[in-house]
Amino acid sequence: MDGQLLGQLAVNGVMVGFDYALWAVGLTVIFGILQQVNFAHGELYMLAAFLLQWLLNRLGLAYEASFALVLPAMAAVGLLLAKCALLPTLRRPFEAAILATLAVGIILQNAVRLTFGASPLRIPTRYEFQSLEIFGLLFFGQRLVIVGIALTSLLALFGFLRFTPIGTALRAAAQNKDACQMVGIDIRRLTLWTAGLGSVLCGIAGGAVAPLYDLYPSMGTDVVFKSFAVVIIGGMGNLWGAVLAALTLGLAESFAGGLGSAALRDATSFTAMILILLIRPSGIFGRVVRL
Amino acid sequence: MKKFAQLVIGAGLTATAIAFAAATCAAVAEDIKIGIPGPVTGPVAFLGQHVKWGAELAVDEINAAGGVAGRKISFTMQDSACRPADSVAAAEKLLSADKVDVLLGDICSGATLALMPIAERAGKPMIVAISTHPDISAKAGVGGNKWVFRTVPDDVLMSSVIADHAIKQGAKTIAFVAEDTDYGRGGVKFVTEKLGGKVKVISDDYLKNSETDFLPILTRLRSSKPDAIGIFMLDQQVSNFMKQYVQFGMASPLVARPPLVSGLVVDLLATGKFDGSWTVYPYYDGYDGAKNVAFVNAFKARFKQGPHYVAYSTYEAVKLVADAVKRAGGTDPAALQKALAASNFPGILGPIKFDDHNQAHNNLMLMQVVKGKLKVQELIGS
Repeated sequence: MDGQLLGQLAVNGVMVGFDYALWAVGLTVIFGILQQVNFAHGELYMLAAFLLQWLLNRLGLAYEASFALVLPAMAAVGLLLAKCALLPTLRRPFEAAILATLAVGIILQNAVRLTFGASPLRIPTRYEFQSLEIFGLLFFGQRLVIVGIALTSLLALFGFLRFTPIGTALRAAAQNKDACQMVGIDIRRLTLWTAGLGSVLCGIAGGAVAPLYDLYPSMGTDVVFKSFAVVIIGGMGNLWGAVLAALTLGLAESFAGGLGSAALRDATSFTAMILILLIRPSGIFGRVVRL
Repeated sequence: MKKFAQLVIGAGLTATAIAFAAATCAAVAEDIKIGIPGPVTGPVAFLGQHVKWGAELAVDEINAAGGVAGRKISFTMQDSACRPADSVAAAEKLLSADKVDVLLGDICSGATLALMPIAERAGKPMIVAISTHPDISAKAGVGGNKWVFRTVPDDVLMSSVIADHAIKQGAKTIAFVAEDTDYGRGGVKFVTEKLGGKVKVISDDYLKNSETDFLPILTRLRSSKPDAIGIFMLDQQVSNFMKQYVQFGMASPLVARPPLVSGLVVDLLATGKFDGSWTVYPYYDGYDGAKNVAFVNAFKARFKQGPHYVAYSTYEAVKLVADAVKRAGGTDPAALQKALAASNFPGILGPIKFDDHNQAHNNLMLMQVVKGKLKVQELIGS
């Protein structure tokens, strides 16, 4: 077996794993705190990518500046999502939130199709075609940027949830909403915070990962499925579980695709997901919400 | 308030009734209707957009010139997402609700194959202008489905050209990367057969057509270093593949049917990293035949970009239908079928005539990237 091949597959796996971690973290935060499944997750990612593209190509801003502007915009979108879909379904059975967010997703997807058209768009960045070769192993520019952004934003998220009053309240809500209300924590306000946070995380994912690929209105569909696989394997709502699951999945897929075939690679994530659901329905790290 | 609402509803109903009556009166000179099942959504929605543009341009040109046999021509597109089941549902709706006179085939071969029995059962002609799977013409015409006509050369015809050229180029090894559909798997199978072992196939990978990440495959190809990478994927997917190919610093040329003709990859070709890559396509908007230049200019003026191969195919298919309706003197299905079979239509790339399997033999184009630009090397009869 070729050592360089194995090394490169490992490097790819870790880099792709960080894409998956960024994709999944927004979904897991909303589920972990609100116990609501956000089916508009992929479309939030897609919307962030299109916003970035628009700022970059139409307004002529730099990639970094556009990225910075996308985040507050996505926070606003998150608040809107909370108003339209998450708050009205807060006290309803869980299917209500699924249907409401699914509807938001469909509306977003078609609104983007109407506005931007179906032709794929591209986000050019200066890191796009750069790669670094170290001992015969290739490290790709934009993917290194993603790893940096993923690590920074995960640490920032952890710090926010751990060390700020709002973060503490969010963690309390994740554990027991009724108890929260008893001590005077406003769950509706926390819902707004959570949706905003989840949406900003989608914005970060969109800004970092989307330049790798062409943009088109249905690009969120694959993202949402992959995110579900990651979140289910890592334990619904478990932040570090999701990150670990993302990296494991990235590596497993890389080796399956590199040593086996492309079809085998696709099968990997979903086989893992089904196995986990059969053996440990609460995910490898359990459903116990530890953010 | 309630009264007002009733009034509004009443007025609405009256207006609808009037509109309906007007529509019925107008039925005297009803439009010639073409139904197009095609991808408005899904991973190849971009191609669906070009199909729609091609049809729009053709329909408007025909109507501006006074229509056909005193009637206007129109088209309706229904979303199929390029999936067989959705495509069948779209065609059923076009036939029963929109009452179309002619169907066009879908883009994806799998979907078009599923449409063939629908056209036969309805007894309406169907023009396949884009799908290239050989089974389509094998099942059409003599001894089979007389309603289906194909204007585009099929994969077997293209495979011989591809295999011959690959051998001529002196490649010793080839690795295939294809979409996991009838088109992708069929293409790889036919080319492999035609190569007959003269070029060694070292790997074949099939990906779902929404896959965007090619790192594992490119990593493997970087180690196995094939002399050529044979591609059977559509535009959007190949554009992502080519981006990652550049990041990997690969040197093996892309061959077989990479959509190098696509507007999406012009920038990528301009990097010069794809010089020596070649493709066989039924059409390229950079072809300098006089008829093509006129078509491309009209298309660009209206849609602000060059026509994709699927736009050209649809444009020609609509014109072909108009020509047949004119000769048949109307849209009676049996007469129209006969008129289509007897077509000798002056197309953009040459005359369109059907053989006994209702297959036309348009020219194919062999094109190669030279100094960052796609150049037509040869027009090959099929």
